[in-house]
Amino acid sequence: MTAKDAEIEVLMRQGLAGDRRAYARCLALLVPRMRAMAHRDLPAHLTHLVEDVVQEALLSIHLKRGSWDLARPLLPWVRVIIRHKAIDMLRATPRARHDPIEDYADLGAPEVDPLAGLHLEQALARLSDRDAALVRQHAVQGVDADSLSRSFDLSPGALRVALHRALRRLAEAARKEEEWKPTS
Amino acid sequence: METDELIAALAADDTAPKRPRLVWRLLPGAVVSVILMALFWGVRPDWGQAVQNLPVLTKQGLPVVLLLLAALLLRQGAPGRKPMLGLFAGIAGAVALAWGIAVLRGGDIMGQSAWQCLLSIPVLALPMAVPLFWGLRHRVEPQPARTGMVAGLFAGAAGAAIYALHCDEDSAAFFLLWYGLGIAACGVAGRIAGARLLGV
Repeated sequence: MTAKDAEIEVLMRQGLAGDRRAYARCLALLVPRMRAMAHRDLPAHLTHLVEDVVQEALLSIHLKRGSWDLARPLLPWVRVIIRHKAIDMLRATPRARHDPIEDYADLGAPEVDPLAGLHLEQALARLSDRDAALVRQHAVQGVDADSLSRSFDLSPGALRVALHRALRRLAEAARKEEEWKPTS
Repeated sequence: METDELIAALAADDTAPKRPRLVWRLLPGAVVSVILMALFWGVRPDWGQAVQNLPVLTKQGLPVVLLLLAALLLRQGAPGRKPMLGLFAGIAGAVALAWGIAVLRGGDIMGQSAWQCLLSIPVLALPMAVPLFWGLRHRVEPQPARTGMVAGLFAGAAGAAIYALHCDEDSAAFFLLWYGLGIAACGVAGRIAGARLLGV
């Protein structure tokens, strides 16, 4: 385990103990690692999905962080999540065809997924307006909960619960989208 | 949404992380099952003596062994889990073989309470299965169907062990078949539930 890995683990422990700044720093340090892992798991023609895999894995890490066994290293646990999300993403993506494009002169440009990188955005769009706004506002304004509880007219406690539920629904919506199969 | 925005939103969520705590979730369920059995089924009066005979000891002990094995499997968290499903297949094979021998020796297959046995085991398993799955939902499960099956086998074996306190059918040809089917049914149900409820 490198010093960086150890630092990430220490930060995650502090995050689990309630230090949100340490938690955010932990996730920020994890993201490059997760990108590298996702890169390895996805085939070359699907590397544009790396960020989607990372974002879904982040949601999963967040919601299930309580199940990380403190006695064991963190990164292998993250690795399992990334691999799983990458496989899910592969399954959800229509298999790329390798027929030479010259044989299909009547077709236009080669098929490119126009929604690449918009996975989480799509999942957000499936949430109720209030849930989506909650997540977005938190994302933009960060940890400043006071102004948020005023703008949503919620007590700080209710705001916390509402955000947690919105994130859970977001993870569910992202997962359901993977199960969606194009009817081609 | 950008990844660093997502991190900000995640860091803003300070509801306490949910821990699986499987044992703590299971214990009340097990107590409920035992109480249900004692109230509606009733412990067999001669249990203390009967359990000293080999067939009854097998009936009581085999589900306990099975549930301990399943518990060992369930305890292991996501990375580095050792597959032990071959062990379950081996036990199932040995039970089937022993059952065949018991039948050939003229054991009573149907007994008096085959249906009651087959239904009671899943019913008594349910109070343990529900909290167990609830706890597993908080865990990272890359093979949800398999974990669900092991959880179902655990609950089924525990249900069978509790039901064995009541059951007074001591023919191996009876209990190996019906207990086995009852536990297997729990495993199948767990597999289906796991595929739907568990995941990463």
